[in-house]
Amino acid sequence: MLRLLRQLAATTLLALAAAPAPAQPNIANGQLIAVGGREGQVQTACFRCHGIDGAGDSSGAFPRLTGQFTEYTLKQMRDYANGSRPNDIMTPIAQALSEQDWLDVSAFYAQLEAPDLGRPAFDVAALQRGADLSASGSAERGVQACINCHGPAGIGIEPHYPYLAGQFATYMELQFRFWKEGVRRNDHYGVMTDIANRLTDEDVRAVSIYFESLRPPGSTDPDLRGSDAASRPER
Amino acid sequence: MYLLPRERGCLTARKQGGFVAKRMKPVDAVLVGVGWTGSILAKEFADAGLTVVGLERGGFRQTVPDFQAPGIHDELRYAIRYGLMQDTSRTTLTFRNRPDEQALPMRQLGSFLPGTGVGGAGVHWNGQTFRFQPADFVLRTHLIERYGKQFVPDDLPIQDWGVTYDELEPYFDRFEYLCGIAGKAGNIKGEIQPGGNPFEGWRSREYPLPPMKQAHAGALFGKAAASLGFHPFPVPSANLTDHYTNEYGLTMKPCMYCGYCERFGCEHFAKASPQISVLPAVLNNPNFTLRTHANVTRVNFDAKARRATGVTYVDAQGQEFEQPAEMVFLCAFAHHNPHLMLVSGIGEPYDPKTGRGNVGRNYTYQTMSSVSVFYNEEVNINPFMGAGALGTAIDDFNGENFDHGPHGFVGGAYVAAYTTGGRPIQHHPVPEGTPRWGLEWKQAVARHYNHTVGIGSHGSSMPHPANYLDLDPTYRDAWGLPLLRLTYDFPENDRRMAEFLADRMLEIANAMGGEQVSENRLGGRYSIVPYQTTHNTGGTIMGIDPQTSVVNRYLQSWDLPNLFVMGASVFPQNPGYNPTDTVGALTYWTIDAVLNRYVKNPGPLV
Repeated sequence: MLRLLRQLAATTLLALAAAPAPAQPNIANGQLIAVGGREGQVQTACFRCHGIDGAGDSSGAFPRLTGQFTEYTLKQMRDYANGSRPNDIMTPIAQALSEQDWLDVSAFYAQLEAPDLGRPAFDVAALQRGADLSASGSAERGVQACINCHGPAGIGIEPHYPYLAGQFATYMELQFRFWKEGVRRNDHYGVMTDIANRLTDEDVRAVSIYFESLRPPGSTDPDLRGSDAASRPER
Repeated sequence: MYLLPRERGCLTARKQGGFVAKRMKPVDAVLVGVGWTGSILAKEFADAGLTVVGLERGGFRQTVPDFQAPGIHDELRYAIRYGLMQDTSRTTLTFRNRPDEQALPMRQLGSFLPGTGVGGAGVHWNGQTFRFQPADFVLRTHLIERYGKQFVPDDLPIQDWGVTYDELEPYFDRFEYLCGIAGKAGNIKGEIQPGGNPFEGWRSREYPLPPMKQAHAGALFGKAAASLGFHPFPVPSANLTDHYTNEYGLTMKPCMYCGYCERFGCEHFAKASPQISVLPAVLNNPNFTLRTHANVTRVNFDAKARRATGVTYVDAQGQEFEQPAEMVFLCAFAHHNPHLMLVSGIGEPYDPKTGRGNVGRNYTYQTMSSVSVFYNEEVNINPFMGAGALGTAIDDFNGENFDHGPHGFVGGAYVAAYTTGGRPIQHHPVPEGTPRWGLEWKQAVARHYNHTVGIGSHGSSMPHPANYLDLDPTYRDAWGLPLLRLTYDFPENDRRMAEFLADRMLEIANAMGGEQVSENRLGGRYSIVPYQTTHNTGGTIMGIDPQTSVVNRYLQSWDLPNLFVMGASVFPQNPGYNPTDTVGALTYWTIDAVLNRYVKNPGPLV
């Protein structure tokens, strides 16, 4: 198997130059899918769980999609469909849509802005631990800082590293569990699986609430965009 | 043995009579410098039960927290102001092109960037991990056999190394598996492998990890090179391509192609370095003591100059210490090992007038040139998606891979298109004729940033009697020691090689489908100002004859058999590849000889 992979890697040497031009997204079609308004649409409309503005909720099952990068969401749709990110709700939905639909609906949520929902009150000591892990990582656990990839203050790095700022802590904790248990296997090289296996539950909780405490990109309060909650008084 | 007066090595402070060096507890081995070679020696010796002290002139640093983003991506701090490099206000070197000129001190680094601190240059390297060719190790013999005695110019003191590729192969293998090198083998036990470098020396097995995903720049280069009949392959990389656990049980992680390797530490545990590949496995060993901010000023030896007795160093507070040791290993950068021998008065300094002496002789460098291919705006290169060793190369014109008979020069180069990163301050390729500043320059940068491929030739360097290292008669460092003086210019042989390679590069560049091509040929004298490469070699060269070398084939001093010199300063001449793989292989080769032979029966190994 390893040998096959190496051969494949060697043959990709010249293949990259000939990659096809990416398709153009149709945001109107994406919006129709999101609201369940497309003629003959059988799958659940996105808005019923993620909201029409993509704000999601704190249940842990429904992440915020507002302003999330098109390429990232598109890859998640593909991975729901191909089973590398299995999910009882999303897998059938993704499988019922076409590749173009994935792109369109991803692009629709990417261009949205949504109201700032405000910050829940979190334990300050845990927030501090999360801030530390996010900015410096952990020498003891051999974990690099989150912001190396997810951007300063968790704003993400387009196209592949999703933003985490303002994402729901409950959702992020659940994803860590899925990585740890091997349910979710769709990140490049298993980097998140490795990190999930090195962090304790307390670490995961700390870093998740820290990122939720930051204001998300696409938040409609311009004064709060990308700012660091830890430096502000609690509401 | 020729010995300089001991006063040459004395400290100003000692002359003033203020301090007496504090004597530390004797150990089995003292290491001067804790970079790649020092770390590996520490690990292997401590495991074997020897007591070891590592003396590092810089500070300690590790992946977390020192190399984390966004701080480590501060291009101004690290790439422009050389945040990880030697502090030239404490020590530097002086430079001149020719022996009849006055050398002046380098108050800013330029052409090369020696590091400082734990991990040494293993922290800020790119990770391009080539083996030298079998012919490189027996170059003089090989050239005479292939082309006849008259082919080697009289003025090039090219030498055999005293060790062969076949002897080193298991040690290359070990270093590559230590690092988790990502590549595609071209020759496994004599069988040529598709997709790899068909010209490489045989290797006993495949690389530990598959090669990096090739960038668009490399793909365009590889396609053009293949269309001309050349043999492109992915550059072997110490930027890892998967999770990896090495023989010391240390885990490394896959590269994220962030484009901040050269001059930076890696935040992802993804670039093999002493920090992640070796040191965590030895720092807890009670046999090993690491002392940082310990600047070694002298190697001490007994009254009869028969063996080294240890080293003298100065700590951050200026206090002088003596560290006695059964064995002394010089593990510093290629400049500093010969410097330490010269200031300690060990061996005979090379004198270009008489040709006598070996310490400082055969200083070699490398001979680089480049071409840029400018594309139309439809071709997106995305240079920011990079890694230090992310490149596609051809080896058709390196070393002895082609017939030099008609060309009248020795050596060669590999040619590669690297995508090491499109960082904002340094990466602004513009075609020839573009104004150097102002509106037009800015417009050209915006136009070409994402549509330009650079290719470069990484050329060999042959020794010349007028290129050497010695002690500067005028300038001194912060400890009162004379600075190292470098006298260097490109030998005529290397200029001819570079011209030949530049012609080949131009052919490839013209076949790459760009709109315009700009060349940067080797011109004029060697200038120490613009960055070229940090691959400085020679000065304490290895060989088979004490008349023409400083150390024997086991890197053991001919003069003091318990003194060993590690690293690239032992290369008799510099082949057209990056040196680290060979440095690593020689380190394991020496460890084998020391632990299995020397320790049992101390004395000359040859």
